[in-house]
Amino acid sequence: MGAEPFDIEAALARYRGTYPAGAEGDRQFRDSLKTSVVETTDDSVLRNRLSTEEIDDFLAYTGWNLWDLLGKRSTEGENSLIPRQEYETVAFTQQWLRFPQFYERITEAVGGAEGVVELGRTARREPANKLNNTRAWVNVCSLMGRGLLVALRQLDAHDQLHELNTAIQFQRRIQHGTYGAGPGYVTGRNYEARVLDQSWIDRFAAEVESTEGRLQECKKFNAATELFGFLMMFDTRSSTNTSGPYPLPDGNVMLVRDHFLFEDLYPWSDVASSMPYCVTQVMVFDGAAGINYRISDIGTTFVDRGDYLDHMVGFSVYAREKWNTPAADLRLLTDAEAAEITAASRGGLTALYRRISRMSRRDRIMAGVLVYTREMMAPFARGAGVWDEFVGALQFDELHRGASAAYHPLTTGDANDLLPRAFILGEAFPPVGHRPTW
Amino acid sequence: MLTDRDRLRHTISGPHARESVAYCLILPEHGILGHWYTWVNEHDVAGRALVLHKEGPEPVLFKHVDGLPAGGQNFDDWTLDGIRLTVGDDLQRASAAFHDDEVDLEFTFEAYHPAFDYAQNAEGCPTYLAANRYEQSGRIHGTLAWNGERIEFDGPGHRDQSWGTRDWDAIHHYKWLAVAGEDISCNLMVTMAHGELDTNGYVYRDGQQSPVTSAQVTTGWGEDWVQDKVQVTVHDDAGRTTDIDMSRYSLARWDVSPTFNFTDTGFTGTMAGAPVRAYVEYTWPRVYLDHLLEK
Repeated sequence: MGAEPFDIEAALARYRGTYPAGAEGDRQFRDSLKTSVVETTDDSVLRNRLSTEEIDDFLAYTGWNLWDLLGKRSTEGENSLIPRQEYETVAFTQQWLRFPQFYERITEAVGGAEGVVELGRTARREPANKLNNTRAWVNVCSLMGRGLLVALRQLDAHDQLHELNTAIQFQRRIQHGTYGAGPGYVTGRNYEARVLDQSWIDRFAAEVESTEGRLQECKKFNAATELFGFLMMFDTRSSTNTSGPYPLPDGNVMLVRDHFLFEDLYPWSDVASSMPYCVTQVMVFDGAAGINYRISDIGTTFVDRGDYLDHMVGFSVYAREKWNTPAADLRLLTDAEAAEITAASRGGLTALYRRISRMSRRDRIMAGVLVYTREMMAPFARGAGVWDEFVGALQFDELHRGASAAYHPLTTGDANDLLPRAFILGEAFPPVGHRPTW
Repeated sequence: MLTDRDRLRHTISGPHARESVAYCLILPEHGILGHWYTWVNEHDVAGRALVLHKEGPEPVLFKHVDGLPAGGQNFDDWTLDGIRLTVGDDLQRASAAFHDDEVDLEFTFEAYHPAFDYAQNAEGCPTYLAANRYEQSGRIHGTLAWNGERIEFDGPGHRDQSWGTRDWDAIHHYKWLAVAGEDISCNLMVTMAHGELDTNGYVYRDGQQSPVTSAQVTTGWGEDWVQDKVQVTVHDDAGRTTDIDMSRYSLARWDVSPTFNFTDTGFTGTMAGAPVRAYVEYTWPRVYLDHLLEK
């Protein structure tokens, strides 16, 4: 990864000066690939090993996919309380250095590649589960960790081929389970993440309540739980996930949005102990408003109208009490119960701000690393029944020596010239190429 | 014909040109197989590695760095990112080391017999393998401090040096055996390449070293197409027939390139009835190995 200056405006306008964002960019980039690896088939996800061309195509497309996503995230803003870039990049390296072995253990525990595909199908069977459409993408963070370690000269691009193969095939299997055959990234599906089984959509459509006379309370619930979950998980989008848009027979459009609240993976989880594990919002919009709803690969919603919530005509909230509460026990909340959660979220937000503000910078970074690594592994490991083994015998949270070595350049600003190039120019995904080890 | 000068670097050029020096630490008493390695290309860009194997299939230690400027050094005084090599004044001895924050390795090599170069075999050194290459067994004596343990070792080992083209993908398959005991050793390389079967190596026994003329290798396959047992009958230019019978004690399977796999194994057994230890490397095109493993 070089450190020559580059024109950031031009880099944001077109990926590597060539490819646009959106569906047209997806089409052009896929046309440039030599293989069809960014699409999944029943057979291709079962193979033990990808060819070098397939690995390099997957990495190349992922570079464009991340660039496309970052363009959409640019309006998120920054939280001065949370050193997000610092903890994210350290977590990426930790993920790359440790996750492949965990992927292999999960694969073993679920009986092989088909078991991993089945794990991915959880996103279809259950709302309010972190095994959702976002989890079909999160391995990209591990791949970015590889790229950062190459940039820091801790690795060569052609090192750890076995691990690279493992990580990509694990992700492709989850993608296949989540979306079925075809493009594995939602960027290849016209930004539509219609993952939930029709039976859920039918139930939600039948039970959804009109927003007439309650729209403001619905919007407050959405905002309060989103903000609380976001801070609870140290500014990661892991706390929310939207699937859809689901077209309804009456012409309206449904989005299904989860906000994860009481996640007991973290030492500060007690702040949320009065809240359910997850609230699932069923949001039905007026089809006549003509709004274009798009879902990103990290389960966020992008619309072409800033006032889209004002066109919400139906809204209901369901609660899943614990992460392992059966999906069949998802419970429709009353407005009074929802109002209690709104209040608890606001109170929790204040308490959490106070607590985090008292933490040292180092503690905040490491808390972020904890979140970023657990959020991206625990859903798979819980589903496979091996999370306790990971945390116990396999010491999941112990920092790999390579991540420890990367901590200082990534958190003191020494690597600042590398990061924009890594994420905007796709240099976080160096191709393997064909080169012998010696 | 080798000279003492061949212990040093050679002028190399052409596609895939490189020069490499390897020392094999065959330590069955500790359950370890080790591979100390350094290489340099025609642009004076070098690399170094230390690989340790135990039960496998992954190496237990894989320390690899490439792309280092060699600064015109030669093997009589070669230091590179924590490794050191001093080959001495002749083709008989050397000392080497590897040091980093995890491993401290030091050893000396004293040859049991003259180095044998593949140009001495009837068909010469294969062009896809090297311009030439020598193999030599000897006593390797030293210490390895790693993973909270300090191991002293002193026994038969092996080294090689190779210069010129190394075109891995020109090779369908090879079996490379470095078999070493007290006063007895054999190097055998049987390679399928360019549509032919090439045989290289030597037999050293009863104080006489002689080029291999032919060999029959019978492999006892274990799980996942790993060589568990190897029986070899080797014929040499002196008219001798020598039997080697060995069993595996260690394994490391890894890809040296995206398309080419090494299955490296440590063996113990007998050669002409004498106890020996061996580094045995079988290679496969990755796609072919995957095909075998899917069955």
